[in-house]
Amino acid sequence: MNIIVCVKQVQDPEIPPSKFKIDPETKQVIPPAGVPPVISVYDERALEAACRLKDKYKAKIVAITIGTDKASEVIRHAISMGADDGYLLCDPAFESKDSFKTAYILSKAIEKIGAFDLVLCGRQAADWGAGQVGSILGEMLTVPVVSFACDIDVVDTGLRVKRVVSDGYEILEVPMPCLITVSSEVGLPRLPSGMRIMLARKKPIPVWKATDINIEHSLLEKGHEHTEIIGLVVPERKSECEIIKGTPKEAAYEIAERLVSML
Amino acid sequence: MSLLNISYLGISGYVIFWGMFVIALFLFSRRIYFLYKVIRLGKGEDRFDRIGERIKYTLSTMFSQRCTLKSIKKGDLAGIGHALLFWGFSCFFISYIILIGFAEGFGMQFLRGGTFERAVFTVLDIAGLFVIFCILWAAVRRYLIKPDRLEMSFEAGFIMSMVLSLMVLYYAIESCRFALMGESSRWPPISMAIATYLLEKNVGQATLWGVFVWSWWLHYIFILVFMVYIPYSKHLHILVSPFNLMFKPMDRKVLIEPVSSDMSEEEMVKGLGISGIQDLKWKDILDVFACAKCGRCHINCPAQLSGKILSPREFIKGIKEHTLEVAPLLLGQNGDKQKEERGKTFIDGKVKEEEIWACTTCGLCQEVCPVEIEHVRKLIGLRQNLVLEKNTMPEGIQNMLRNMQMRGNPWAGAQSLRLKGDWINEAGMEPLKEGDGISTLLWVGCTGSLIDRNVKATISLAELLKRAGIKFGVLGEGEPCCGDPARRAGYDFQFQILAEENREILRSYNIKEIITSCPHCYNTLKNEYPLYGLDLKIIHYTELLCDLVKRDKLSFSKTTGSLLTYHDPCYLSRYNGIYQEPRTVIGRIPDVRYKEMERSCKETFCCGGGGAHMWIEEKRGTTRINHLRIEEVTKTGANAVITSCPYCLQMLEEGIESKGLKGVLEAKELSEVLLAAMEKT
Ligand code: SF4
Ligand code: SF4
Repeated sequence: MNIIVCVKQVQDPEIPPSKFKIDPETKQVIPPAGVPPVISVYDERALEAACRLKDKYKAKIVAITIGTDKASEVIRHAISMGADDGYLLCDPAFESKDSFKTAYILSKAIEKIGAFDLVLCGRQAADWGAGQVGSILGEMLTVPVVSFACDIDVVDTGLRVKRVVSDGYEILEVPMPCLITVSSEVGLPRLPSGMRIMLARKKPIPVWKATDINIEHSLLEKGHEHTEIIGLVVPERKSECEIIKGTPKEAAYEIAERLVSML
Repeated sequence: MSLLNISYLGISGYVIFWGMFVIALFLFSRRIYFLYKVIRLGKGEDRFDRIGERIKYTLSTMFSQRCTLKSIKKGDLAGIGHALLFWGFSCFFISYIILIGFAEGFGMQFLRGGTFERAVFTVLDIAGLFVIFCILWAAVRRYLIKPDRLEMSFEAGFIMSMVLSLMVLYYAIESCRFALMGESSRWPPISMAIATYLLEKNVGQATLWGVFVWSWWLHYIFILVFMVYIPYSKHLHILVSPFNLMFKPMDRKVLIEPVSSDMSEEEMVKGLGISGIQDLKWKDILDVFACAKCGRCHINCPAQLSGKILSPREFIKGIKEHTLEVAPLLLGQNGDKQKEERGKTFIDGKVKEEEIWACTTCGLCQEVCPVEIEHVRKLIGLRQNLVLEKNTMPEGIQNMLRNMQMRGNPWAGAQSLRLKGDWINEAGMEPLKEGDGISTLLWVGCTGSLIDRNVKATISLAELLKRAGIKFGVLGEGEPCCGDPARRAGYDFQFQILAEENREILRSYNIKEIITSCPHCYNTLKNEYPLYGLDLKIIHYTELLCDLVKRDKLSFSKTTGSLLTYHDPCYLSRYNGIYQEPRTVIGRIPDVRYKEMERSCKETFCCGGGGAHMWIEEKRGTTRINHLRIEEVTKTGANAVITSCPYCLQMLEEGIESKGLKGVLEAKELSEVLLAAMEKT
């Protein structure tokens, strides 16, 4: 089975609010010093899902990411977890917050990698959280898409996928090739074994530019984006606390009344 | 009066004598050769450097019996017992060579008779008394008093009766001989006294002769049996321990073996860390043969004392048993492939996974071990195998390592990042910039910069250094983790990656000297980083303060009022010999009231936090190690326990809190106490 996992490097979602800064002009997040970027948590789970399939069946895992040269770190992380190969898609022209554009770049890279049975993505990125790239990519690759998977297994007809829904889960069967987005319910990602860490350190990571994956530059230009960021603000965090006086009984009535009035 | 000139049933005494000797020697050598081959199964390691120094150390330790006289609890006289036995038996051993080997065996009769012989027998007479006394005493201890640290065993009983018989036979032989010669003199005192008594009682010549001959041969046979039995029994330590002393780690008590990162994939597949004897170094195998099962490690180990399943004595015993079991297979004396495969690992055979994680790497076992056995590096080697190869570890460790890998520090998530670097604003400092011209760095460590309680101590330390006029810089948010918890957890590659990255960071700032606040950082930077190309001057802040007070650059004017005691961090005192320095500084506080704990300095007792144990849940149903330590603190009656390690501080505080001692006892970092003892500037 050939599995391709799309991963993304993001600013650490655990950046303490006091250190989270943005630049409203350029509509960018200013990375705080001393807090290194990390692999998006959902993508790490997608990798975990891929590795579990590899543990069980014969599989080859290839990881791809779009980002700056620093993003090769997430490819190394993917390899240390169990991926066999990885590519960094790095080109100034790739810079975008648009899900369609991202999906397009990924689809071109996947085309270059060749035949695949399964593409895995995180359910959404841990930074912007749009949750669109997976489905759009599936569309572009013209394969069926299953979202929010928490368990994947191989059956005769293809894959059996357990997907999380708001009131429980569904089990679907899907033929291969297909694309599945993975939810955190998959479980904790593994800690890379020592052997894999060293392997990942030594492995060269090829960098692909737009021309390497036959991308029409014109399609990457600003006008082709489907999303536009109008503004970026850090929400104001406010909390107020009022202590309702009186005997417990009185206080309880008072609280109940206020809650009712809020409805 | 040589017995070898006589024929026995037509066979010459010499033939019997040498015949028996050759058989015994054959059995002895065969075993020794086997053991040698087993030791050679271990991997290579150079322990032959500074050989002169090593030999000197071995001889002086052995003959002074310093090894057994140290580290014994008050009232435990076993050390003296062993020393007397050693000295006494050594005299006999020499006499066996001279008087039996040379004088009888080679017929060098000139060695006999005369003053020389008299002198020798006088010494033996007295030594014999000591030996008998010690054996009886040992028997009483072992079989009646039964101290915790000793196990009952058949072997011990057998050896003791053997030695006792040798002594009794010696007196029988010598007194009969003197009686037969009709000599009477005052020397040697005991044999002669018995001889005189026998003559007075008119014991017949034939009887004397009979007893003499039989005793002599029996004595000789016993010596040979003893010689052959030793290498087959636990008393192997008699032969092996001198070598173990000789090949001990020279400069540091505890060494950890790094996992080579230059391995090819095939080599890695063969195994990382230690899982079986094939992964041990030869010295590790020598270690297990040197163990005397004296149990000193067993009764001192914090894991054992707090009810965990680890006992360093049993751990060593387990490896020894496993080794002796599978070595013949590995040496190819038996082609059972299946067994051979199974023999390759002792994890979850003779050594349990739970044991491997129970060790705090405090090193007390190694400190008290009379024969310099190295437990810690074997335990860490096993962890390396579990973590790097098998990917199994306690959950806490997994989270810690994940954090370290993703966020560069062992403490979890947002909580810890919140404070990162912030302390320097509070301390009124700026992070170091390239070109600042400052070459001294205060290395704070993750705990000292991320955990609220420890951050307070860090700020005190920075203030103290400023007041002493030290010019130093800090890295603030840019300070990485030194990697200690990863290495102690066996995740050695992560440690190596960090060491290499940190080397580059420190070089880029042109740092020449580092003051560390955490003993764990101190130990890694000072002792473990040089292998990765960073060899800077590393000092712990207690060393620096000691130097400052001695040069009168730092002085204290206020007394503390409370009764103080100092808890030595293992990684500072035992690992690095720094225990006098903090005491010197504390001694400079005016009118200080100070009381030492029972276990202190090099033999300090672990707080429970070392060896990555800050991230391991202590097993339910067992005592917590920090609670044991707090009990020892309370015995001193102190109101404040001072320490100089962020882990110790946290563990002691937790202990005080859960034992309900808040308000009676407090835990303080040394820098906090000292700052309070200074006038405000
Ligand atoms: S290092 Fe400490 S905890 Fe580990 S075995 Fe030795 S005495 Fe026990
Ligand atoms: S390891 Fe050392 S201290 Fe422990 S039982 Fe053996 S000889 Fe004694």
